[in-house]
Amino acid sequence: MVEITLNGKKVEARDGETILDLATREGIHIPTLCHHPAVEPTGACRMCLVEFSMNNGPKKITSSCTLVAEPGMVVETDSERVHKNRKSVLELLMARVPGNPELEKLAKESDARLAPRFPEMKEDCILCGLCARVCEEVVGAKAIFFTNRGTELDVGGPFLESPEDCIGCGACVYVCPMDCIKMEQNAETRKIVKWDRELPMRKCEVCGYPFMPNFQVLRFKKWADMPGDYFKICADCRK
Amino acid sequence: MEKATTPQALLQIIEKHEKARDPNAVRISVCGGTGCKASGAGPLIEAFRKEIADRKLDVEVISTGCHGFCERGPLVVLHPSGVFYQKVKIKDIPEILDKTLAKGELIARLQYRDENRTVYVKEKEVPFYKDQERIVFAMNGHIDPTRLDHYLSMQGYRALATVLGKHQPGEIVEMVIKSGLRGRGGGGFPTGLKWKFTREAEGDKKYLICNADEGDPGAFMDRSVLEGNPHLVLEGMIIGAFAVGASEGYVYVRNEYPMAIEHLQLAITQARELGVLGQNILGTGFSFDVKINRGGGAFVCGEETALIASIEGRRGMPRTRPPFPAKKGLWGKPTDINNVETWANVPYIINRGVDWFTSIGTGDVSKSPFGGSKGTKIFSLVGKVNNTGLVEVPMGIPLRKIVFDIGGGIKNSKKGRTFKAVQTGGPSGGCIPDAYLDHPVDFDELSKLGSMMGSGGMIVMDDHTCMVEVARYFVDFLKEESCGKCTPCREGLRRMSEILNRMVRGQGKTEDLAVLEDLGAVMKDASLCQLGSTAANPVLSTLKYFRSEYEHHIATGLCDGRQCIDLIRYHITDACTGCTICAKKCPTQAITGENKQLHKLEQSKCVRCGVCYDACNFNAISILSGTEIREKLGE
Amino acid sequence: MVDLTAVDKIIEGYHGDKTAILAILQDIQAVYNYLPREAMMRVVEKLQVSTTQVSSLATFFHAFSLKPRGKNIVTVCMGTACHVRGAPRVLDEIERQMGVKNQETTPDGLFTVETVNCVGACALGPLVMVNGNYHGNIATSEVTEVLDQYRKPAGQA
Ligand SMILES: Cc1cc2nc3c(=O)[nH]c(=O)nc-3n(C[C@H](O)[C@H](O)[C@H](O)COP(=O)(O)O)c2cc1C
Ligand code: SF4
Ligand code: SF4
Ligand code: SF4
Ligand code: SF4
Ligand code: FES
Ligand code: FES
Ligand code: FES
Repeated sequence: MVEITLNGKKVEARDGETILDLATREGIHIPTLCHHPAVEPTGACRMCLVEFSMNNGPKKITSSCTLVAEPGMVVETDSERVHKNRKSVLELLMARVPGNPELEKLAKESDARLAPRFPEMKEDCILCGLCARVCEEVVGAKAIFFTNRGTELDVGGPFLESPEDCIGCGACVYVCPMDCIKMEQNAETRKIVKWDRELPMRKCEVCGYPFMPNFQVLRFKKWADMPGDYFKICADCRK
Repeated sequence: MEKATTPQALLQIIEKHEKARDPNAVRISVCGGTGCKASGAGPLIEAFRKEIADRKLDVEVISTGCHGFCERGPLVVLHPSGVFYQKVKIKDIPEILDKTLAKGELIARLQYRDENRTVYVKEKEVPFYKDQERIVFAMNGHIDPTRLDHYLSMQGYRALATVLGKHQPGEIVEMVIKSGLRGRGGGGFPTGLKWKFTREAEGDKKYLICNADEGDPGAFMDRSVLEGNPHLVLEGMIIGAFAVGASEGYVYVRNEYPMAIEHLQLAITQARELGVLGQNILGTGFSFDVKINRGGGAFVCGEETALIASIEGRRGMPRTRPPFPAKKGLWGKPTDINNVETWANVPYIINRGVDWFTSIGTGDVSKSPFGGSKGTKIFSLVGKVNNTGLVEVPMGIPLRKIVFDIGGGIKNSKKGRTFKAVQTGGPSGGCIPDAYLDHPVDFDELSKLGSMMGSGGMIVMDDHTCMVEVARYFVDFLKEESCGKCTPCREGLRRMSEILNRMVRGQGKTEDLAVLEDLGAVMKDASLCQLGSTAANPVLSTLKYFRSEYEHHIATGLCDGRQCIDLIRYHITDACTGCTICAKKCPTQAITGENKQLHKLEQSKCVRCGVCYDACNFNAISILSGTEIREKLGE
Repeated sequence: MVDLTAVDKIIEGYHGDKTAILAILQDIQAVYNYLPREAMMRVVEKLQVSTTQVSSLATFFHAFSLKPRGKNIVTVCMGTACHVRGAPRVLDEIERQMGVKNQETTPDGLFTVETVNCVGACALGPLVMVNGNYHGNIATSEVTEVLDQYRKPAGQA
C-alpha cells in the first residue's frame, strides 16, 4: 500500500497502481482516449493529464494512465492548469478529426472550444495506437503498427498496405475510441475496412453459419497447435 | 601491448609510457579529424610521412584528432616549438621541412592572422584558443587516437588503475557527486546522483550507456571527442561501470560518424588487450564489456528512453518517465546513461581531484550538486562569427567572451553586419539577444533566459538573420524529428509549422501570436518527452525578445533580417559602378547592363539567391522589404 | 529479382540476433544502396520477427531509403550550422541543376539528391557530400564544378 494525496485527500493506492486506476476507484472521473485496461498504457493521447509533485518538488503535468503512485506523491486531477491543458489537447485532436462524436462529447464535458482555431484535417484517427497494442498484446497477431514518424505518423499494416498477418478478429474495431475501424461481413467474406483486409469466411459444417475467417482458423491452429478438425463446426453447434 | 593483470601492473605500464614520451622530441602533428580530412588532411599526412622517410629524418608525424578549428584545416603543429600552420597543402611540405623544421623560419602565408591582420605564431596564442580551458580536449591535437601507447603516455588509464587499486564503488559515486559534475548531454542532471540511483536500484544485471547520438544539428563535440580520444570515453565508462555495478555497456553512435565508430572499435580491442575491458579487469574480479550500436538518423533517439528502445530493436519512441532508466532501463534493468562529454570528464576528476574540478565554474556544490555548474563545457560555435569551431570554456564564462574574443566577433562587420542573437541549446533551445551578452554561461543561467545548455550548440546570428525564419526552421526540423506519438508535440508542431510558414510568406494574422503562445504552453506542459516539452522554446524565446519582427511580418510584410524570400526584393542602387560582376554571377541572367553603366535587375527573373548581393564590392545592391518595395519599385 | 545471398550473410554475421535488427537493416542498405522489399521480407523470415516491426523501423529512421537510389548520392547538409550559412540556397541550386527534388533520382539514374541533418563537419558549412566525400564551404556558384566531378563516366578523367 502506498499513501498519496489525491485532490487534497489522503488515499491508499495499491502497489504499482496507476493514478488513473486509483482515481477511478475513488470515484474521480478522468477523461481518457488511448487507455484500455487490457493493454499496457503508453500515454499517447494526453487526455488523462493530471498535475503532480513529489516531496514538495515542482508541480508537473503528466498522464495519469502511466503515472504509478509513489509515497510522497501529491496529485491534482481538477486544477485549472490540468483543465487548460486537456482543453488544448482536445482542440488539437478536434482539428485533426473534425466532427467526431466522442471528441465532441469530451469537449462538451470539459467546456472546451467546439470550433478549433486551425484548418480542419480530414483524418478519422487520433493515432492513439490502441488498435496496434490490442493486436499485438491481446490477439498476438502483430498485424498492424505505426509507420513513419512525426507529423507523418500513421497506423496500419506494414508499409501501410493490407496487413497479411491480420486474422480479421475485430479486436481493433472494438477498442478504437474514434470508432473509425469498420468491419463489414457477409456470408462469404469479412472485411476490416480501414486496413483493407478482406478474408473469406469458413462456414459451420453443421449449421452453415459463416463463423470465422479461414485465415484465422489457420493461425489459431498454428498458435495453439490444435487438432486438424477442431474448427469445422461453430461454437454454438459444438455445445 | 602487454596485458596488465593488476592495478599495480597497469600503473607500471603507464609510467613506462610516460617516461618514454620525450616532450622535446621533434614531432609534426597533423590534424586527421573529419573536418580537416574533408579539407584534404588524409593525403597530406601520407605526403608528410613519405617526404620525411625519403629525407631519412628522425621526426614523427602524428595524425591527431580534431583541434576544434576545423574551418582553418588542415592544421599542422610543429613540436616542440608549437608553431601553428593552417590551411596547409601538400605542396607546402618541402618548405615547412626546409625552413621551419630545419631553420626555425616561419612561413607567413601559412600562419593564422585575424581580421586585423595580426599574425599569431603558436597555437595557444591564437585568440580562438587563448581563452579556452581545454580539459576534455587536452589530448586532442597531441595524440594519435588509434595509438593506445599515446594515450598511456599522457596518464591514460591512470584514473582506472587508482579506482580499481584503492577505492570502493560507493566512494567513486560520492566523489562524482561532490565534484558537481552535471550531464553534458542536455538536461544537466548531476551525474553522481544518477550513478547513485542506478547503484541503489535493484536488479540482477545493470547496464551502462554512452549517448553519442549527437542529434543537435550543428554540434560536433561528441564526434570530435570520440574520434580524437576514444580511450578517454572508454576509461570514463569503465570507472562508471565499476561505480554503478554494471557489467555491460553500449555506445550509441550516429551512423553518420564513421571515423568515430572506427576509432572506438579499435580502442575497444586495444582496451581488451590491455586487460582494462572484458572479464576480470586487472585481476580484480570486476567484469565489464562494451558494444557499439549505430543510430539510424533520428534526433529523438538521443532521448534516453527512445535510445533504449532503439538498442532493443524497436522504433525510437520515448516512453513516460518515471520510471527513470536508473530504475528501469535497457531490457527493464537499471541503466545509467550519460553523454560522451560527461564520460570524458570522469578520468580527470579522479586524477586531479574534486577540489580541482570544483575550482572551475560557478556556484557552490558542497551541499548539493545542483548548487552550481562545475568544470568546462565544449560549445560548437558556428554561424556568423569570424572563428567557428569547437571551444572548451570554463562554466560561467560570459557569452560576450565566447562570441567576441574566442569567436573574433561578427563576420563581415566591416560590411556593416552586427550581432543580433545567439542561439544555444540545439533545436529546442532559445535565442538570446545582446542585452544578455554579459550573462555567465551555465546550466541555470541559460534556463533563466528561456534557453538551455543542451548539448552545447551555439549559433551566432547577425542582423541579416530573420528571427521568424529561425523559429520556422527549428519548428520544421522538430516536426520531422518528433516521433509523433503524443498529441501536443505532433499536432502542436504541425500547427506551429503551418502558422510560421504562412508568416514567412507574408500571410501572418494578428491572432497568430496568441495561438503560438497557447500552443507553446500546452506543448511545454503536456508533451510526453522533452522533445515536445522544449520544442516551443525557439518560438517562445523569439516571441519574447524579438516580438516586433513577428509584428512587422504580419503588419507590413517587413522582414527585418531581409531573409524571407517572398518578402524581399533585390534592387540595384545608384551606387552601381557598372563593374558587371553581378551580371556575370547571376544564375538566372536577371541582371543586365553595359560595362560602366548602371545595371538593371529584372524582378520576374530573380530567384532571390543573393549571389549578386554577396558579389557586389560597392554596396550597390540593396535588399528591399515591407513598404520599401512599393516605394522603390512601385509593386 | 534481387539476389539475397548478401542478406543471408549479414544475418548470419549477427547469428540471427533479433535485437541486432537495426544494424542488420543498416548493413543491408549499405550493400544494396536501399532496402529492397525482398530483403526486408527475408529478414522477417530469418529473424522470425513481424513484418510490422521491420516496416515500422524502416520508415522511422530517415537514413533508410525504400526506393532504389542513383549511382551517385548527393547529400546536402541542412543542419543548423549549414542552414545559417546558406544551405537552402545550395539545395535549391542542386535541385535546379538536376531537375529533381530532394529524395528524388535523376531519370538517367546517375544522381539521387538527399538531405541530412548534420554530419559533424559544421565548421565547413555549407556542406555537400557526394558518395561520402565531403565538399565543404560550397558556394551556390560552385555547385556545377562539384557535380561535374561525378558526371564524367568512370575511367575518363
Ligand atoms: C529530443 C532529445 C534529444 C536528445 N539528444 C541527445 C543527444 O544527442 N546526446 C545526448 O548525450 N543526450 C541527448 N539527450 C539527453 C538524453 O535524454 C539524456 O538526458 C542524456 O544522454 C543523459 O546524459 P547526461 O546526463 O550525461 O547529459 C536528448 C534529449 C532529448 C529530449
Ligand atoms: S482484426 Fe486484424 S488488425 Fe485488428 S486486431 Fe484483429 S488481427 Fe489485429
Ligand atoms: S485507428 Fe482507432 S485505435 Fe487505431 S490509432 Fe486510430 S484512433 Fe486509435
Ligand atoms: S513529445 Fe514528441 S517526441 Fe516526445 S513522445 Fe511526444 S511526440 Fe514523441
Ligand atoms: S538575387 Fe540571385 S537571381 Fe536575383 S538578381 Fe541577384 S544573383 Fe540574380
Ligand atoms: S489515456 Fe492517458 S494518455 Fe491517453
Ligand atoms: S578536424 Fe581538424 S581541427 Fe577539427
Ligand atoms: S550542420 Fe552541416 S555538418 Fe553540421
